[in-house]
Amino acid sequence: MRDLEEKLRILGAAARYDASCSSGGSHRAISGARRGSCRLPGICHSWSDDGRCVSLLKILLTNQCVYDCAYCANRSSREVPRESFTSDEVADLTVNFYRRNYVEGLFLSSSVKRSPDHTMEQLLLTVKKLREEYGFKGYIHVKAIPGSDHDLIREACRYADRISVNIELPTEKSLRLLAPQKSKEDILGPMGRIHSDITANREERRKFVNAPSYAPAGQTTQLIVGATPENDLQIISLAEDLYNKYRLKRIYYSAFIPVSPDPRLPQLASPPLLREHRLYQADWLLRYYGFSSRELLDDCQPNLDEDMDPKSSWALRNLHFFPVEINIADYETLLRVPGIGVKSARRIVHARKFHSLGFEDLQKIGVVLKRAKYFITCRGRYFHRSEMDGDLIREKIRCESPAGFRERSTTGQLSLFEHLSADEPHNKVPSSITGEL
Amino acid sequence: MSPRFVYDGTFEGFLSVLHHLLNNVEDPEEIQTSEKSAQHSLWMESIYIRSDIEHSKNMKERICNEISPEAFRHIYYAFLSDRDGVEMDILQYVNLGWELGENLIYQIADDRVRRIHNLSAKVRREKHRLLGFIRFRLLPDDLLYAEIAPDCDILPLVAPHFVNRMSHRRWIVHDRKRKKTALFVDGELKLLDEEIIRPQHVPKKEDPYQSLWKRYFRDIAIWERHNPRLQRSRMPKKYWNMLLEKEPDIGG
Repeated sequence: MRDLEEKLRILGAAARYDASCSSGGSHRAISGARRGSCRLPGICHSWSDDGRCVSLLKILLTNQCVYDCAYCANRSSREVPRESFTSDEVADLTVNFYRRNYVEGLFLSSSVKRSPDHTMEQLLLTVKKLREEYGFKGYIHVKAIPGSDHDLIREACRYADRISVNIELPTEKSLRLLAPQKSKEDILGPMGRIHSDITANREERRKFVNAPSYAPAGQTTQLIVGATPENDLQIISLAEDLYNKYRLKRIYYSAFIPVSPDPRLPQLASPPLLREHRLYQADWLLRYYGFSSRELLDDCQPNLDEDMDPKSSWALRNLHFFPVEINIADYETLLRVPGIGVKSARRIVHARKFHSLGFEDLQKIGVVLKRAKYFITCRGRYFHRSEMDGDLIREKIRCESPAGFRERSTTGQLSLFEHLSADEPHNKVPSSITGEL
Repeated sequence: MSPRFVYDGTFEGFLSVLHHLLNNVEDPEEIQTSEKSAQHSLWMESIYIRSDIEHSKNMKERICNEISPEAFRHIYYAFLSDRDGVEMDILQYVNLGWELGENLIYQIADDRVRRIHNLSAKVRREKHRLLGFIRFRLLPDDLLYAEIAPDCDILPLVAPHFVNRMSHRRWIVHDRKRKKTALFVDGELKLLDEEIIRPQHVPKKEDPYQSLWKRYFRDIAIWERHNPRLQRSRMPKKYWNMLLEKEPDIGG
């Protein structure tokens, strides 16, 4: 047990830089009565001291690595204690944590020990054992190791709910600079192949109910923000392409945290948390609000506004679109109003069937009026006598940002995070979608 | 003077009251559980309505058919909020429902609807939180035991989740505040209105996975991102006493 505790300490801490945290979205059928189930909306079991949610036992199988990627806490040239779990240790921890309701399941990643194929084989062996020998039916998220044989990845997907290949750096140039042992093809290759496999599997399952499942919760990826000079437009365009091309479920943005000094890395006083948050918000706009990357950013303005959320910022650049009449505008138009999220837009569409809505009704429905009021009319009325004035609205919205926002952002504590949803399992309240803007 | 109706405090009992009111066209001043009514004045006339399975089933069907199953869910959840006076609020909601039918649940700007939906959302939120926060301990004989003390009576809502999750084990979830127990043995779930284990009688012996979990929890935070305010907003302090990882450190 002592030995196991030491391994868990090292390999848990080594895995913490992966931002992925979701445990939902799996349609895997519950068959028989062995060990566990998966719920469609994810469940968060705890929040760590940095405020990030804990839903899975997130560990590395090993932190022994042949790669020396500059940004990584486990790079081979760094002097840190190295450990490896056996597959039985991983399975035992998972089953016992799951049984006590500490977690929804396992998030298994790994450094590259010996070779990509060897590592992928070990990951596969572990998830297979967990399912087949331990009869575990909870959630499994497994990493695909770039550069490993696709047959190994494919087999791991039979056992896992979700798979991810981390893209880490947004351009090939940056990859060459900081992770010279990985290539763009190593990362995008498996993503593309996993996407085709998933598409084929969904088709098969439509025809045959008993067809085996293949990563039923889809694939995700992670991007490190702030380690390389790319602007937000490059990042958001890449995200858009990944969503469109590979149908990723989620892209996680992780603010770069310098763990080991390297002349190739920027000197940062603190991780760019505010930027990470703005990208996160923009990502929601792509996925749920019908925005395209080119609407949010362009070559003249390639970075997201730090002073306000990206939807308000878009609205102020497109004042001709407003004001929107709440009682007439269609759903897609409502979604573009700052302060109206997916849930409140749906509610407006329902509620106005019965009677026309005024400002007081909107408040009850859950619209964030202090932002929305500048962009809407109710029964033809604007909230006060004056005309829409872009400069004035910009000033007001800025003023509404929590006091001390900027100072705090440099020390890495954002009160903003507290009322804007920060992570996916929070949209666990069934039927609701968070990240509302 | 309009009378006060008294029932046994169960949801079936409450549905039986609704059934009685609907069939006798009565207009109550209050609807109360017998427990609460015992503390009240003797001056008001009170009528005790016995819990009746048939009547409650009938009422459930009528609400589901004539209003909507979704409205029935809101009623059930709001009832579990345990808030004083919720019975009369539900009565108003149901009465409005007879007029509006399936459109009831969309009238969110109407206070009678909003009150119930807000309560139901509160219960749903707490239920969902507890699905994550409940912590089982392994007791002798492979029995898993968890204690809770939620604001709302969410035990009947969370118990089925653990049936799916641990259908091959024996477990207990114990609501310390309401002295109720969910007991799962031999593949059967029982919801009991009593405590079958007193918390002080639960063996104190630490299970080794408890310290592993606490240790793990401490090591996964990134200190450069340290954010206790965010942690508290997601995981309110009132639940910390049920969270193993938030127990004061035992050293090591």
